[in-house]
Amino acid sequence: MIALLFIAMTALADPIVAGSQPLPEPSSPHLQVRDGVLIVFDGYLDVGFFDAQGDGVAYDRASGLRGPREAPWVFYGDPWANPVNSQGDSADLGLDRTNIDRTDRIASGGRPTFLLNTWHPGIALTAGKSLQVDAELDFEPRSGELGDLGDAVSVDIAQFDWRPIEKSDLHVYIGKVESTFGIEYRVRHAPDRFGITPSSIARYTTGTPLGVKVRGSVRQVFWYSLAATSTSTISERFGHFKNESTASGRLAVRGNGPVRVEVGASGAAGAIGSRQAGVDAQLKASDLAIRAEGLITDQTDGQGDWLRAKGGYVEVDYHLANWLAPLVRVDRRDADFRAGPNYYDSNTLRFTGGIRFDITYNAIAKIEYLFIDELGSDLGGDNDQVETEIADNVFTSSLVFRY
Amino acid sequence: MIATFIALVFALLSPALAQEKAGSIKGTIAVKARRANSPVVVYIDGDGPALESLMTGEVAQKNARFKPQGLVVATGAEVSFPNEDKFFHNVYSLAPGASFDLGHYASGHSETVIFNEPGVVDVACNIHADMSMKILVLPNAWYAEVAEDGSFEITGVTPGPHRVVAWSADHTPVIRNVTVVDNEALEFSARLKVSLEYINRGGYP
Repeated sequence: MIALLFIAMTALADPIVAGSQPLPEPSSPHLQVRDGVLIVFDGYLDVGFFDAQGDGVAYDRASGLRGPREAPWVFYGDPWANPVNSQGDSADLGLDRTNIDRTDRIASGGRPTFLLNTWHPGIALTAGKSLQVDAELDFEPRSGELGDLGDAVSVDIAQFDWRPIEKSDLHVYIGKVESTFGIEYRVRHAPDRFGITPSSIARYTTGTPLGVKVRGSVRQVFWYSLAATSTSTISERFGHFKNESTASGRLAVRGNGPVRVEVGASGAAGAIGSRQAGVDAQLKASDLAIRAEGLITDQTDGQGDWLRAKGGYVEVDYHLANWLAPLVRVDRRDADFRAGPNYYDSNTLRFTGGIRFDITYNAIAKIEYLFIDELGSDLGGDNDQVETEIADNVFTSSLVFRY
Repeated sequence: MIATFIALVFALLSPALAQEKAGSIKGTIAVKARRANSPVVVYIDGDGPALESLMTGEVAQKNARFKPQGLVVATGAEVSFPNEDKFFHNVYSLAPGASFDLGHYASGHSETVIFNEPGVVDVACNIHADMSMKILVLPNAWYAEVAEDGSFEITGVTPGPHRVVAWSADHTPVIRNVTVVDNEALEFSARLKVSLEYINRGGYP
């Protein structure tokens, strides 16, 4: 009956006469301050439910594993191998097994958990054709423990976006800006990300640094993005590597034919000595999208801590129908991380399968399952005999409302 | 007898008297980086005889692109915008006098817009920042499509001053004022350069 009514309504829909309606306005709530000055309020709400295997922790204190002499605490696995939302929060950071005070905002303990992943409000002020001011926040209500309320408010983006030449796509961004590294930063927000969780290398590429960035193209074929920032694109919070003045950039070639292919290379160099390089490629053809990235990173905080990692992922997204779209992703990450007396030996292969349901343009439901396989230690010697598999697979789901 | 003679002469002369004076415009348009399925036309801007063809058109949304990316229709034409992708699209225009917004709609649905005002209509999708196309709504019947070899001819043009436009969705139009003379073919040649016009939609930050 509803279907018949819908068909009837569609059939009876009258053509629209161009110019007969008021000028199109943003679909988000907005305020026309005066001619040429517009404030738009947009954002999204992301709620989720997840269930992680074991105690929810994706690494272990490997009592049988022998690490370097200067690092008496050796851990095996990747604390962020089991993300449960688009921010990449782990189901449980397992702080009871470490010797450093950190904040664990979810700390599920392996229990099935409902979560308001984030409320992400944004405000954009547009003044004329050449200037826009953007601010985006994250409100993350959490339960907290041990005297910590757990709740978090963070500034995601706060930038001036200036177009100095009207008939050009050159943009100059000043403030807390989007990354210049790779392609995953474009889809790091829940409504934009095809699935739910970030790749295992997103922690190195999707952070929002503070500084100046320019971006543009030569005839929309050759694209460049360059930044000089006081922090890096690293967002992982186990180390202090993000607090390093960094020069970064990406060059890419994008074809604009029916099958759109984009290939890019990124690099970053920090003032203390950190280095990072990566390549990326993506293909979009009809309802299919394939994207892949790989990187190698060598980070130092200048005080003895270091991180050496390489990794990458391939993701395939496909729209079976407007409301049904599966995805598969394979991630690989091999990392060694020294933080004080702690030494992390991570070597993981991860398979992710998921389905996305676009209920309406504004409401999206997603589910995902992550199979995480620890591949063994690369410390060598007797360590090869140590059991290294961790029960840390995750089922997670998300319901996103954007406005 | 005299009346019959006058009637006979008048009948013989009347076709010539009835035939309106007319000239033509012809020439060659050199088009840099011309794309297949993207029309290139030369037309006369302003008043003229009504165009009775090109009263319908279709702009599909396929592969996150508008297809075609340039469309030529007559004033009063109905243009449909079917979504042939399996994800949401939006279609809107901020063109002065021809603005519209079709909202977000899903795969398999189509909306129709009537264009009653001549001119160029920039069309975009507010979901996919790199989707855009242009519709040229012709003001009258004085137009010609430019052939692959660049040649064109507009016939039946009323003598007098006119504004001639060579247009393509991908190029900066060439506009010239000309004077058409009865029974003569006016030469009009031009070179269309790829447009560097970008709308402030930015793409990826």
